[in-house]
Amino acid sequence: MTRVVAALDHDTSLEPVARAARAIAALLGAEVIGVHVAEPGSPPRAALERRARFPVSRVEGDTVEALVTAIEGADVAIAVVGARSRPDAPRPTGHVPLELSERLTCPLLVVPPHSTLGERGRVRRMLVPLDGTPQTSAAARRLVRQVRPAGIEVVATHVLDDSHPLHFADAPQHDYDAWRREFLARHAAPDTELDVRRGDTWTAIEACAHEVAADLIVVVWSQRLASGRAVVVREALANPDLPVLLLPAGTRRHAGRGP
Amino acid sequence: VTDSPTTQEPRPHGADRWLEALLFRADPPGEDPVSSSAIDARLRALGEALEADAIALQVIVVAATRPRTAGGAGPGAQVVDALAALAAEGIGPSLVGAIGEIPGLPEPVARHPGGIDVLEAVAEVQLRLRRQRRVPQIVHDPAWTIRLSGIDPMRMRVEESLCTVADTRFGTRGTLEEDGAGTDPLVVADGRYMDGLGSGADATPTLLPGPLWTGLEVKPEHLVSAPRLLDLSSGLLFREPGAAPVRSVRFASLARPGRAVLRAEAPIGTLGADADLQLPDEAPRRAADRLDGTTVATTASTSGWIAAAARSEVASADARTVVERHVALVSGDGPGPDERTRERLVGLLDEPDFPTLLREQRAAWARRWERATISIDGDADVELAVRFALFHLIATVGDDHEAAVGARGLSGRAYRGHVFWDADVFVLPFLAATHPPAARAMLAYRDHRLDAARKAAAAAGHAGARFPWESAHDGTDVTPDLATDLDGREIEILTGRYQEHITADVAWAGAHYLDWTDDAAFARGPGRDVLLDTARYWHSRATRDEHGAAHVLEVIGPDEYHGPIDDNAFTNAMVRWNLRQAASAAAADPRGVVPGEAEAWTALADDLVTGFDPTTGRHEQFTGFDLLEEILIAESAAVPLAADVLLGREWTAQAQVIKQADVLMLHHLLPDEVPPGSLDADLDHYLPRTAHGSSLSPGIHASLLARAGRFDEALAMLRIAARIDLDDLTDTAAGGLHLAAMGSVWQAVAYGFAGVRPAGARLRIDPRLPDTWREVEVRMSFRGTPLRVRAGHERLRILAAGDADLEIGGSHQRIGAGETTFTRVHDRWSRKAVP
Repeated sequence: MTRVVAALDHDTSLEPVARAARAIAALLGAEVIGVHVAEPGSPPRAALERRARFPVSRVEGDTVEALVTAIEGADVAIAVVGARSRPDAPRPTGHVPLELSERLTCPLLVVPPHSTLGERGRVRRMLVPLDGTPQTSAAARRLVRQVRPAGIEVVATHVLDDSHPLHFADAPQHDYDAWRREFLARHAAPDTELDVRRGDTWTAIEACAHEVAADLIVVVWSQRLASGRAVVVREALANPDLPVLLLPAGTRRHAGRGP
Repeated sequence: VTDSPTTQEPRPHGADRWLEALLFRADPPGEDPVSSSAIDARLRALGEALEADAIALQVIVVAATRPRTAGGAGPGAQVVDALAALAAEGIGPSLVGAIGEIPGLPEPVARHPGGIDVLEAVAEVQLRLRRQRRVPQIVHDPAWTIRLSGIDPMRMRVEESLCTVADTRFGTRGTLEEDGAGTDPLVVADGRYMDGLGSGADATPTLLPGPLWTGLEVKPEHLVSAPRLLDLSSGLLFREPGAAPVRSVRFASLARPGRAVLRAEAPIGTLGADADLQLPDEAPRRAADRLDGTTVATTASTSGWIAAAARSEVASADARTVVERHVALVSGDGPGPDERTRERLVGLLDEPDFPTLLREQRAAWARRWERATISIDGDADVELAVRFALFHLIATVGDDHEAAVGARGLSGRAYRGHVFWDADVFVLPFLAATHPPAARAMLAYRDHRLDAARKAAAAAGHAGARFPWESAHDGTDVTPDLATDLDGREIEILTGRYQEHITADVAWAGAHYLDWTDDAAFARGPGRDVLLDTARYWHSRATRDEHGAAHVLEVIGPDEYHGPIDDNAFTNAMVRWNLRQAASAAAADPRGVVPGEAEAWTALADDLVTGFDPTTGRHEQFTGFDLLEEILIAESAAVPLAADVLLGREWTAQAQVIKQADVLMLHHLLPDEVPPGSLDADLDHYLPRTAHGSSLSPGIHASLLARAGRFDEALAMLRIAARIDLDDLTDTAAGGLHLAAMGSVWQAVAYGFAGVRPAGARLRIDPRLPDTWREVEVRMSFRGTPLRVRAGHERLRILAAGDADLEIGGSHQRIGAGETTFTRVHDRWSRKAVP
C-alpha cells in the first residue's frame, strides 16, 4: 500500500496539514503517516498523533534533510507540508516547503494555514492548469487516470497570456470550437472540462479555482525554482490561497509509482 | 519538440527500388559478346514479356550520341529528349534506371553498368515488384517531398490534415491505416452537406462524411505513429515502417476523380484488410451491403449523398502480406444512389489496375504542375512550402460543373465546409492563372446561387443580389448568429449581417477570372449577371447625405475587430469598382439594363466617400478610426497575435488594432484604383497597427511589402503564411488546412515578388526580388497562352507557348512563342535583341 506522508510542525499548521493528508490518503486509498522533526519544545509523539489522528514518527536533525530522508525512504504517493506556520507569518511560504519542492521526487501538496481541505468531507474537484506543453499534459493525464476512479472531477484550465497567446483566430464561430477541441485532444484526459482564461496566469488560475469550487490546484512543474523559471510555481507558493499540489514533470518518479 | 517537415536528402532503396522507365544504351563501349541482332531479338522478347504481363515499364533504347552540351559532360540529345518526355509524364529522373554507360545523367537516375544481360535482370526485378504488388519504394526528390516523422503525438491530427489526398472532388484525410484512438479519419465530397444539430455553429450545415476506405488491420494495435512522405509532384502519400512494420502508398486519382487506391505491405501476421469500407457514425443515414462481391456503402443527408464501392485483395508471399484496395466514390443530390448508379460504381473498380492508375496519376499531376510550378532559386525551404500550398489548392478544386470551396477545403471538419470570401479572393486567382476551368467552376458555384442572393437582397429590402458571408448548399446565409467565446461566454456573431463586402468580392472574382482568361462566354453570361445584380444591390444599399456624398453605412470590413462601422475604405472602394465595372458592362451590352441605370451607378460611384485624405496621403480605415485609442500592437507585442482573444473583444473594438489587411487589402485587390503613392503611406500607418490575427493576413502583407521593396519584412510574412499549416501556427490545422492562406502564398510570390499580374488585356510583369533570391519562376497561362516567367535581378526571361501581350517597365511588349529576354539597365528593362 502506498503512503501519504505529512510533514508536521507542532504549531497551528498541524491541523490543516493533517486534515489534508487524511483527505488525500482517503482519495488514493493510501496509508497516512506523519513525520515530525524534533526540536527543543517539541511535544511527545503521542500528543502529535492525537492531533494528527494518524501515526507520527519523530526524527532528528536538520529539518529539510530529515524530512527528505524520511519521505524518500518510503513508498510515498504524495507528501504533504504546510505552507507556513501561521496565517500571519511574515514570510509567505517557509523555506521548508520551498526546499522540499525542489528535492522530493514525489508530488508535494503545500497546504496554506487557513485551508479547509478535508474539512467538509472528501476531495471533490481538482483544477489542473495546462500550459500546452507535452510534459504538463502527460503528467496531468497520469494524475487524472489515478484520481478519476475515486470520483474526482478534474477541471482543466488554460490561460492565454503574453507567453501563451493564440496567434490566429480567423472566425470565432468556427475557430474557437476547433481550437478547444484540439487543445483538449492534445492536452487533457478524456471527458475533461476546459476553462480558458486570459490575463496574469496565476491570478487567472486562482480565480478559476474559486469559481469552479476546486479543493486544490495541481501544478505540474520541472522542479527548478531558479530565477526566470517556474514563474507560476513561485507565484503559487508565494501566498497560496488553496492547497497546491506540485506534480513533478518529466521522468522522475510520480505518484503511486515505485522508485 | 515541433516536428516540422523539412528538406532532407533522399534515401536509396537498393534492390527493391521501383522504376518506371529504363534507358538502355544499345552499343556499349568495349567488348560485348552479344551481337546487335541478338540484342535486338532479346529486346523484342523483353517488350513482349512486358506487354503480356501488362507491365507499365518503359524501356527506351538510346544510342551513344554526342553530348548536347558544349563541354561534353552532359548526356546526348536523345537521352535529354527521352528524360524530358518522361518528365512530361511525371516520371522524373529518380524513377529512371540507366543500363550501360550513359554520361551526364542526373544524380537520382539508378545506374547499372552492363549490357543486355543487366537490362534483362533489372527488368526482371521490376516485373517481380509488380507481380508481387509491392509498395513502390522510390527515391524522393527533396524539392517535392514533405517528410513527416510521425513521432509527435501532439501533431497526429495535424499530420492527417497535411497528408490529405484529394482528387478535386473527394478528400480523404491522411489518417494512418490503423485509425486508432485520437485519430480523425474523414472522407468528404465537394459540395455535399448535412444539416446541423444543436445551437450556434452546430446548427448550421456541415460537410457530410462519406464512407471511410483507408482502414486496415495493423499490429501492434496500440501504436498509431509512422513516418510518412507526401510526394507533391504526383499526389502520392507514402508510409514507411516505423512503430509498426507497415509500408503503404495511397492516392486519390487526379486523372479519374472518384477513383482511389491503397496498397500496403508488412511481414505476415502484422497486416490484414479489415472491412473494405467503414461507415462514419455522424452521417444521418448510412448503409452498407454487397453488390457483385463488392462492398458498397452510402452516407446520406436531406440534401445529398456519398457512395463508395471498394474491393480488397490480400496476398501473402515471401514472408510478406500485401493488401491492395481499389475504391470508387460518387456523390449526388437527392436521397441516395439508384441501383444503376451503384452498379456503375462497382463497375468502375474493374479497371484500370494499380500500375496504370499510378502512371495516370503521375501524368495528371505533371500536367497540372507544368502550368503551375513555382521555383525559387535561393530559398529551398520557402519553395517547398509554397509547393505544398499549391499542391493542396490543385487537389481541392474541381473543374467540372461547380466547386464549393470551403475554408478548409476537403481536408477537415472545421468551418463545416462553409464557403467564404476565402474562395473568391484568395483561392480563385491561383486557379484563374493556372487552371481556368477550376476557377470557372468556383464562379459557377456563385452564379448557380444568384437567385438565392437576389432573394437575400429582397428580404433586406434592397434590389439586386446580396451574397452570403457564409454559404453552403443552397446559397442562403449560414453564418451562425452566436458562438461561445473561449472563456465560455456567449457572443454575438455579426459578420453574417454586416460583412457585406463579400458581394463585391464575388463580382471581383469574376472580373479577375476574366482578366486572366478573357472568357467571352462568361463575360456575356453569368459574369455579367453577377456584375449587374451586385451593382444594383449597392445602388440600393448606399445612402446619400445632405451634401450629396454617398456612404455605405453599418458594415464590417476585412478587419473584423471593428464593426459595424460606417464607410469602410475597403468596402467603399470595392463598391465603387463594382458599380463602375457594371456601368461599363452595361454600356457595352445594354441587354436587360433599365435606361438610366448605368448612369446612376456611375454617379453613385463618383460620389462615394473613399476615406482618402490628400493631406496625409493615406486612407482612414473607416469613419472615426483615427479617433480610436492609438496602439501600435506590432511594436508592443509579438505578432501574429489574436489580439481579440488575448486582450478582449471590447478592448480591440475601441483601439486602433487591426486584425488583418483592410485598407491594405484595397491596395492588394485594386492596385490601380488607389491614389499613386498611397501604398507606402498606408503601409507605414497600418502595418504597426496590425496584429495579423487572421491567417489571411501574412500572405497579403508579404505581397504588398514586396511591392514596396521592404524585402526583409516581406520574406518574414511569406514564411509565416507558407508554414501556417506545416508548423500548425494556428493550433487548429488539425481541423483542416487553411486554404485561403495557401492562396495568399501564391499571390505573394506571383503578384508580390514576381510582379506578374493582369492589367487589362496585358500581363504586367514587374519583379521585386530580395537579395537572397537569385531567381523566381512562375508558370501560368494568360489568355490561353502558357507562360513561364523567370525573373532575376538583372534578367527577365519569358518562355511563351504562343503570342502574349505584356507590359514590362511601363511599355507594351508583344511576344511570340519561344523565349524572350529582358535585361535591366539602370532600373529599366530592355528587350534583348534576337540575334
